[in-house]
Amino acid sequence: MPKYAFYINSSACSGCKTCQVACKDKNDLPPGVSWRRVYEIEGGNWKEENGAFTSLPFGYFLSLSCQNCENPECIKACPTTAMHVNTAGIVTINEELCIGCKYCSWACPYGAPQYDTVKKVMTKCNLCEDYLAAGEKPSCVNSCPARALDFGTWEEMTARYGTGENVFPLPEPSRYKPGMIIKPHGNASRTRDNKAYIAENEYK
Amino acid sequence: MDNDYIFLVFFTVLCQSAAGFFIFREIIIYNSVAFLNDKHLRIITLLITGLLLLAGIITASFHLGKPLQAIHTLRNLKSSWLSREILLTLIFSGIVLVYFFLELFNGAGSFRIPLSVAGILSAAGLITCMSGIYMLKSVPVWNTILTPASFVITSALAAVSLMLVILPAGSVNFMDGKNSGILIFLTMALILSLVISAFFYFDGKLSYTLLFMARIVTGLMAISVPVLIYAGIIPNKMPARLFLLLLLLSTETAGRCIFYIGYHVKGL
Repeated sequence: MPKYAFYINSSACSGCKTCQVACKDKNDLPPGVSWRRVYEIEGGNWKEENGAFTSLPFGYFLSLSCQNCENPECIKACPTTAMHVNTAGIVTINEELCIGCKYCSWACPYGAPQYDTVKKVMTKCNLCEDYLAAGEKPSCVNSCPARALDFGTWEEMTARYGTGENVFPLPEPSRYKPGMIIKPHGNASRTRDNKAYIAENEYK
Repeated sequence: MDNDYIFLVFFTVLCQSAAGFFIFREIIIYNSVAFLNDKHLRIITLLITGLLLLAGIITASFHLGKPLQAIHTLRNLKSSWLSREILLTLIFSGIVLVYFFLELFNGAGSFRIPLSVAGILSAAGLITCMSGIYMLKSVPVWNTILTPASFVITSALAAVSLMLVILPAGSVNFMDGKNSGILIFLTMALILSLVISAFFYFDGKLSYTLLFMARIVTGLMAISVPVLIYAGIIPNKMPARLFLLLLLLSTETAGRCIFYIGYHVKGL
């Protein structure tokens, strides 16, 4: 089975959320459910020079969905085996088995599984499996006006973009082996020395 | 964290109380001839264990999107702590049910020891699985020794205070040298429980601060009850013991709410 990967060029992302809207539209998602989410990371501090203070704010965006991890915590946590890797190699949910306990959403560090209050089961990004079968890319990738997103097999993406870097606030990739390659925004390096946080309350 | 975490608060507190109470019952039964010979006491303690479990299971079902599909929850025993917890809840409930009916009709007789051992193992396993559920790599605040510690303390506090209510008033005298150990245990366990809560508490919002204050106030009031009994200021009778039980359950429930509020995924 192939391992898929999203390429996220955070330095090109303007935070317009077109990918998020395209995903909601394509998958007909109800209010409160966003399989792809654009996070705004902010931070900063003050610098004193000769008694004068200068503010040093910074910010960047991260567009994230299910990372189709190689070590998916959601599958380990799911008590019903509703969460599984399907024949196409995509981590997916069998809605017939799901009881809506939400435990997978606790275990996932990327916020991918989301509870659908209408269906009363967990739902998540399926990488637009029907588009993949037709040889197309997921709707979020196709819709991005800045071409900040790309998608393909892990081999294709790493050959094109390298293995990427880890950025705040994502966990160490070696832990879950996500299918995700990030080109960090220039500001991302500043999170090491400054207090940074997720700005929106929308996804908390 | 979803707003319906309150159902999980009650589920965990009720089931941990049931597990702790059962273990404490079995410890007493093999150490007290009076308890062993009192059929009424043996039945009522098992009935309470069963009712606590039933209330816990019913409460937990409100947290589920599709509770009628819960039969599928035993499919991932290999890696899911939630599957294991549900299996042990069922096993423990089954043992309590069989034990109860045996005691009700004939007395457990030669089945008592196997049922006791199996019940204690499944109750301890239930608390272990509950801890495993919350010790997630993605939630660092839960992924510490404090999670099982708080669950064990809740079980122990609920067990002792429930037993104090059920045992005939006057049979446990705090002034007695042997039983004054109960006073020391309750005080120490409560102080430890309050300290652990402080580690889970991190949000500065007013509602959370009020909850934390409620936790501290009810906890300190609970500590004061056995001290006042010991000092002879209030009589060692049912109202005081019932008040102690209610205070302990209130403070542990508030503590569990703080535990859930402390949920904060490392990542997104």
